[in-house]
Amino acid sequence: MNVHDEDIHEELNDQVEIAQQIQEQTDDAPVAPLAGVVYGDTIYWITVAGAVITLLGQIWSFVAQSNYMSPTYVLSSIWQGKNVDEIWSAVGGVPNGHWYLPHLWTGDGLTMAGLALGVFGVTPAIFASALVLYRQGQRLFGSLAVIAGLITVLALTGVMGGLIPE
Amino acid sequence: MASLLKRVPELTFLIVLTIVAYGIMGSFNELAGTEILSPTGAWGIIVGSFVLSTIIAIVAVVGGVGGGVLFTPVMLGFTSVDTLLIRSTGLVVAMFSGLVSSGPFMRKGLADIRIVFYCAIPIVVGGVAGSLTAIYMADAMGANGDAIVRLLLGVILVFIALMFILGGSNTEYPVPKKLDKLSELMNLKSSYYEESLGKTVHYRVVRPLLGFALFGVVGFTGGFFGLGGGWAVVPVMNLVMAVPLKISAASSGVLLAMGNAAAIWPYIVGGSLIAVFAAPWMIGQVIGGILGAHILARVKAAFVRNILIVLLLLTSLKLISRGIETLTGIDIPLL
Repeated sequence: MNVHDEDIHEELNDQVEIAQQIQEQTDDAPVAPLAGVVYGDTIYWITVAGAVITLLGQIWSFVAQSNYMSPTYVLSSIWQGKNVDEIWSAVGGVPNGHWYLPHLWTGDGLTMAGLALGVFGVTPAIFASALVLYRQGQRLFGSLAVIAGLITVLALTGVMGGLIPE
Repeated sequence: MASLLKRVPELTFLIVLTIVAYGIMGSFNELAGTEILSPTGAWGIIVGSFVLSTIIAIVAVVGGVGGGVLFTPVMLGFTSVDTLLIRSTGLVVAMFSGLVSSGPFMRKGLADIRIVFYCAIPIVVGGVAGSLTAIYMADAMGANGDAIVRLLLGVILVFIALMFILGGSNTEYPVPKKLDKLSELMNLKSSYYEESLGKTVHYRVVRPLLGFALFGVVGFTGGFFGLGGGWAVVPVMNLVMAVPLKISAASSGVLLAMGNAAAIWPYIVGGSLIAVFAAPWMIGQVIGGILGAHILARVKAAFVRNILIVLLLLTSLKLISRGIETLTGIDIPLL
């Protein structure tokens, strides 16, 4: 048997071994892992809540005429190809940080808050799922989840914005 | 559809609320018009964006590619909207269908949370780095930067379309040829109930190190172009890590939503995400995402994938021509 034949033989053995390992698993309909369900449900309901707030903000924008920036001005500017600096110049320049929080009573402020809430949902979902993984003894994946969660926290606090060169 | 609305009351609630909301906005519109846009025109843009977003979300979730793959290139290719705004809104389109579909996917066991967390780190880090670079480039390079972005994105889209074509239809339930030491150590194996076959499918992840590195590149590209990264997650999981196609598509949606949730904060904090423009896209993604997640459990993704290939190739043509036009001043008569 030459070297080439040995390689093929070894590869075939590997394939048989993998097939056996897969076959050894039970064929019952599997139960969805708890860590996944906790993650999915947390995000799901926060996103739905965010969507509802966004819709209410949109109604407020159109009906109450209470906006940080006029929606028709913003949409006109966007379709004219104006950039972010030009659009925000109407209110004195591009805001830094979470501008919508002090403007929650305005239509666009509330709309932005709904969007941000939907995005934020990922962070508690990751940490809740990490907790379940740790409790199940899956420390590697629990730790990976915590790292991912910490990165999203850094991003939402605006720390990462400071990395943009001037 | 009727049974789905019964089984998922929150979906019914959202659809009814959206119809009522847009009805009220249309009927009691108090906005002041501008020179180029009437109040009714503004309402039309909002409703049109919502409808388009819902359709994109359904296609994106079933295909596991993320809506940004469709939204960003089409907007860059066919409108004069600022690239930074398109990319920030592209992330909204890319992530919200993935966020909301996480619930149904996890409950059905279609998405694997351990795979998601393993791939999340490089995607998240790459995504944030990509979006920071995009914001820096927009400030530093102006119109030429715009053209370069369009040109590069066009080339990337051709590459993505080729991956979908070459990946073919024989990848639904891959069986790994060899187990490396790391994959044995991590023991990333699981199973799920395949509704379309009526039986349980078992799988095992291989080549985790190569997958990890590739996801870093995917994250950066997704954050930079506002594509969301979903375009390459399915091929990497399926073709490189031997994850079944349906698990890849579902996990991809969950994963890209997680990555984009980090990537989008620099845009939000920096004022580059405009609420009135992004909101209808978000609502469409949420409703379309829930619908798509329930459809995915029943259908094969091959049909949607073929549609995507055609769309990607057409859009890449337009993007490349617009990029060359701006850089060289030569007019290319396309569409």
